[in-house]
Amino acid sequence: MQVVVLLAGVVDPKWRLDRLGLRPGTELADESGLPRRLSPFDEAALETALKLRDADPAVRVTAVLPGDVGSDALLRGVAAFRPDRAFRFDTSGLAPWDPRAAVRLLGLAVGAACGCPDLVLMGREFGDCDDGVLPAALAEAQGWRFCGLAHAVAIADGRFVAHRIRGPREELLRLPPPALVSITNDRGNRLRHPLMKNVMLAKRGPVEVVTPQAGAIPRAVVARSLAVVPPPQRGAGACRILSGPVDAQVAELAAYLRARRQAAAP
Amino acid sequence: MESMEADILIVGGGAAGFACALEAAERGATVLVLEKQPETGGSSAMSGGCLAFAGTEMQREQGIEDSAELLANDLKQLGGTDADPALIAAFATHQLETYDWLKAHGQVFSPALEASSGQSVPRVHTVDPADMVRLLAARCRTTGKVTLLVETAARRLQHDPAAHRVTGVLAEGRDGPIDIRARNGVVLASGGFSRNPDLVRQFAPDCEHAVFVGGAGNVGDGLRMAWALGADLRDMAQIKGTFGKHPTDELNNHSCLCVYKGAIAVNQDGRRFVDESLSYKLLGAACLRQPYGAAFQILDEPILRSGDNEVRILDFERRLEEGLFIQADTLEGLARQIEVPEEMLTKTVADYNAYVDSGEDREFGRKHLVHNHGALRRIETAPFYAYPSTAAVYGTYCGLRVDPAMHVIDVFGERIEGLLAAGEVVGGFHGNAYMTGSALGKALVFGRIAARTALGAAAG
Repeated sequence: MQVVVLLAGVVDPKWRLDRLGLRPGTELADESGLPRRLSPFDEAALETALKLRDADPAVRVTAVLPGDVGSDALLRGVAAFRPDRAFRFDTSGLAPWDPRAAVRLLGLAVGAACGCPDLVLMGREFGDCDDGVLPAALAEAQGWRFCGLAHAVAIADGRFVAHRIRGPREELLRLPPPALVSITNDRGNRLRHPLMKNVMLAKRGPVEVVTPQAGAIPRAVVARSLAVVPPPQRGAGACRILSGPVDAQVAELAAYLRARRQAAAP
Repeated sequence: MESMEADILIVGGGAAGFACALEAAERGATVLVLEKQPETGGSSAMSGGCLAFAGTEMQREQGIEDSAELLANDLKQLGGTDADPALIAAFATHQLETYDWLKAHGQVFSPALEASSGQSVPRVHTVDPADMVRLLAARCRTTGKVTLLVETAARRLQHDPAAHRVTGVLAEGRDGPIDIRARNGVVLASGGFSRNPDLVRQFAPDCEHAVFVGGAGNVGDGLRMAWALGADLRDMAQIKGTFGKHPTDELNNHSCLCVYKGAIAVNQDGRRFVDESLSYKLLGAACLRQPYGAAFQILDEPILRSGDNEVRILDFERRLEEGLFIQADTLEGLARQIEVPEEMLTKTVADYNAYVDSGEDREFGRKHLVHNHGALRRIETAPFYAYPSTAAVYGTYCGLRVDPAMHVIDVFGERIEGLLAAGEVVGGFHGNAYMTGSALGKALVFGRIAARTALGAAAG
């Protein structure tokens, strides 16, 4: 049973993004020097894959992380969870702005993992450049069955059983392979912690990189600039973030509440 | 250049700084507190909130017999020959009045008292540490005598070489340099240096694999400023990581000490490696010598349920809910999950249980749950748990040599007049090991002593 988990990776939100723009000469956002980490949806997808292997040792998990050399540290972090194989699908110079190109790229990445996957798992949103369409678009492009927004997957009678919540109901979708399931984060699929031993071994181990053929991914959309656009002015009564020293914030909030109380008094 | 003046100038807005400021203000002094971060609190606010007090009314109400003498004996036993008996005596003498002082200022303690690292009886008095610092800061404000400058860093001590006396500091504020004169003295309460990799590498190369936790401002400012004036240093060779930090969890900044409730510690080979009742500083040092610098605390269901959710280092159930414990119905299953040899882990637990039954730990001589407190218990009731653990340097527990009045002492054994220190920047108190609650306790007790000394010196 071949399970491929596609991981996007995002810039670690704990770090301040001092600048926003394209890296000179490329279509890539300039995130150089900023550490990357798995998004919550990546983590949920990876944990779902590991749970499938816990339940059935015949499951083989391959983790694929598209990215350039800046993602290698993150790949080592993924390797610490001991998937059967983990590699970076080299996207140096390729930008994921174009969903059609991104789908093509991810299809090649899965193909590099194994010829015929039984199950592909990915987060409900794939990184920062996805509007939530990539999982469905990839399944459509590859002709795989699809379930979106699942929070758990099990295997029963050779089929995948995807659990998802729809309003007040929990749905169970039975999908024969090959299938793609996008995973939403949930208390039950919170990513386990790697053992320190495996973290240290992964730090020392080699990084496998698979490079797609040049020109394999035709693109329709080209990014020419990336900039911050100030939000539109809000009207009176809109939210405002208090700033400055905490004491000053507390004083301002207290004054505001007092004024509201006085205004509301009969 | 802007200039300012106060009776006492305090560098650092953590527990030591505000305890010093409040004590001084209550005695009528004007006080200036410099905090280089935008917020006050420092490492104190990040700490486990444990305070080691002895002989308190809480202990009496719970039938716990404790005293300043027993506290001092525990500290001497832990610290060995490196711990300064005069500093221990100063702490033991003034800790109970500091407990009462805190309560009088409205500090509320958690009702449960626990025994932890280095304690012969339960004497961990638990507070929310961030709230405690905020309380002290608020009390300082109400005196009208304390001025707090945030985002203002002390850069250099101003020194009169002829008198060998510190007269103030040169600080850097939001609007530029400030020349600050302190009529009665400068008190360094600027914390340790756990966030300064160069100093850590210089003084604690053995902690290369340890996790470092501490206030962002803990880069050794006060230490270096006093060092530049010839201050002597103490305990610099005693920096050790504290055992019990989950090595890959980034959300919890506190250690988890299941061993003090009856767990054992095993390495990646499934073998015990230490007497688990020792101070968690010593456990941390032993852990870092194990393969991968990490270990597992192994426990069963009754031990897990014996945790105390009011005490951060004993809050097992919350960590279980957060998925930090690894759980299995059998020891063999647990061994598979943590990738240690199954036979070795089951043998280690069986041997340990036999030691518990016989009353003699033939491998490591463990006699109690923690220090001299608590009877050992078997590990036998499923489910079984493993808590991955390494050592974290929460505080450097070393620094400036001071006398019991908190005067900073130079390398020739002489006072640097006008310069005092309190809190984590002080060395010589802990020595070889560490008692839970003695760092935060030291911050308060020594901070108040420093204030009294500075004002007494002026009066004299």
